[in-house]
Amino acid sequence: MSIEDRVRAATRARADLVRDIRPLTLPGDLLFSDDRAERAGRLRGARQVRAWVIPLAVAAVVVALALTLVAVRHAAAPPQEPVPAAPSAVLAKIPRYYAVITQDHSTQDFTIVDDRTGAKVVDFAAPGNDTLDSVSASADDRTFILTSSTKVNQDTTRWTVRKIRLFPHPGLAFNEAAIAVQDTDNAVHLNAFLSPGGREVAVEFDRLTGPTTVTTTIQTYHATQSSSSGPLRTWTASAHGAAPIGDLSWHGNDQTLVFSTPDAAVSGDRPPAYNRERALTTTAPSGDLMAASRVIFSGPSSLHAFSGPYSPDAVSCAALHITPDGQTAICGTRTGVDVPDARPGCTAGASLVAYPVRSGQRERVLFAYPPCETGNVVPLWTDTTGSTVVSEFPGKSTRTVLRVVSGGKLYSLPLPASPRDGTGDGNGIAF
Amino acid sequence: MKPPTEALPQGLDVTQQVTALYQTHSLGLVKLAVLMVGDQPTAEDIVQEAFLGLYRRWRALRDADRALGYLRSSVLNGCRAIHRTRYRRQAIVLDPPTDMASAEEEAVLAEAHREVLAALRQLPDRQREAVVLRHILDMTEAQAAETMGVSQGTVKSATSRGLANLARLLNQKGAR
Repeated sequence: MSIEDRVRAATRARADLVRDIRPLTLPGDLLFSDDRAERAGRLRGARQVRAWVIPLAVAAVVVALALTLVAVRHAAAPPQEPVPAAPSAVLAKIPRYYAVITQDHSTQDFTIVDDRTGAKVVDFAAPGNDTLDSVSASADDRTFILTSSTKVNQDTTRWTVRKIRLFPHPGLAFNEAAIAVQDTDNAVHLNAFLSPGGREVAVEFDRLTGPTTVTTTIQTYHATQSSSSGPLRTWTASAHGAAPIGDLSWHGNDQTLVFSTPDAAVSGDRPPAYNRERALTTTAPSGDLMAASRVIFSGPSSLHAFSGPYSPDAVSCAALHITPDGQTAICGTRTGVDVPDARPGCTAGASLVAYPVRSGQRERVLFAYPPCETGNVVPLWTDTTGSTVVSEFPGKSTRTVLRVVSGGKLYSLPLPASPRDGTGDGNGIAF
Repeated sequence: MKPPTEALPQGLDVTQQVTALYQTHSLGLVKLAVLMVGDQPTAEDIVQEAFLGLYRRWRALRDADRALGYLRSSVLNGCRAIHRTRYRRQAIVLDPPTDMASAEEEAVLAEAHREVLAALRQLPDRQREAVVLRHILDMTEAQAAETMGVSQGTVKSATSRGLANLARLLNQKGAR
């Protein structure tokens, strides 16, 4: 019996025990607008003055009380400053164009935004019955990779990888080319990344290969491949209960891929923290991913918010990125999204933290959100040294925002109205 | 269990419409909440609150046909709030609470079913919701995404991770 069958059987058995429930009791004194008019009519007459003076007096007292409380609150706590828009000097340091998947109910769009102006320079709906899954950006600030999936039938999901090249000159906004990928049917996720030189595409996907096993496959292809001649290389890794790798990206040249792996110290039924970074040379023979790669950074051992007192030295990285110079690891912390936020008094909010690769010790906090402001901070792009970082922050109680930290200051970036949010995996926005 | 999809009865006042909705859908929603929170009294409270909320906000509901979607989302929000409250309470007790089953559940449900339900309750909220909506209510990814207020990609990943976690928890239990 599969795990789905077991879950169905058990939950249906439990649900079948629910047979009788108490009746709904609706309160009779709710003041809908029509009811209010009706009640007001009934009160006209000898008691008319009393009918409106008393509520007015009560309202005046409430307003006075509210104003007093607001004044006291403002006196006790400094007002929250709105995050300023990134000035041109900061915008000049980051890529000009970024791609984002937007979603309004069941409608999805692929959009490329000019962050200097906030204008959408490319915007098209998901073709056919496709579900847009992920976007990535290349180093040239002009080329993006979009992946999507289609349910062919009940048992088969088929994946498509498209390369979208932006032409800023008038008359031709972009062109699109499919990259033929193989053996990806029924993958749970699929991400693809163009190498900095534009020669190769790395494709990463997960499959459930056993009741407890997730297998991740990385394939490399020629970026111009339009027919199914097969991948150049293929590596696989498996883990129980969670994907064995995360945060795949190219690093430095067309021959190195880096990715994060779970902190070995994490176990149990909670989401793992991907606090280690490994490097894979793409000329290595196909085979076992872990054997073909090497650890280049071991971050702090994670400590989930639920499992003990907060410690700034023990964090759980929602996403981890190595800067292009290879010297610094940028960790976006994860709090309060997949796990309950049980830190007494909310000692700290989500943050971006930098660690020197060599020592693995915390070097500096690039930015920390206010206490109790929790969510996944996902670094999307960093400059060579990590002094300017673009990140996505889908907060637990707020809509997704784009932020850039530069020179220790936080700025906002324009973002379309309905970014696909809530994932906290950074797959829906790419710089 | 299928997600309820019937349209609202027409020509009734607000109280009658909400009551009609309650008569049609409350049982299914209580079953959903029971799977989320584990006990029926709490589940009934959550569903009652959801219907009261709907009653209060009826005029603000732009599309009455969306009432059911509103109710489902309200029930899920109520379940999340219960989990948060329980978690805070757990943080101040000396002994962690055991996974308690009701007397009826204890008496009627097979041991194997109780293990699955206990494992389901150990999942993070989002994974539990995705598994229940997709595999128990048989919702599509789009329906589940709208109910949970997340993207279809999130539903997809939460479902697969939830199932993998369930399988691992059950295997661990089996190994012990």
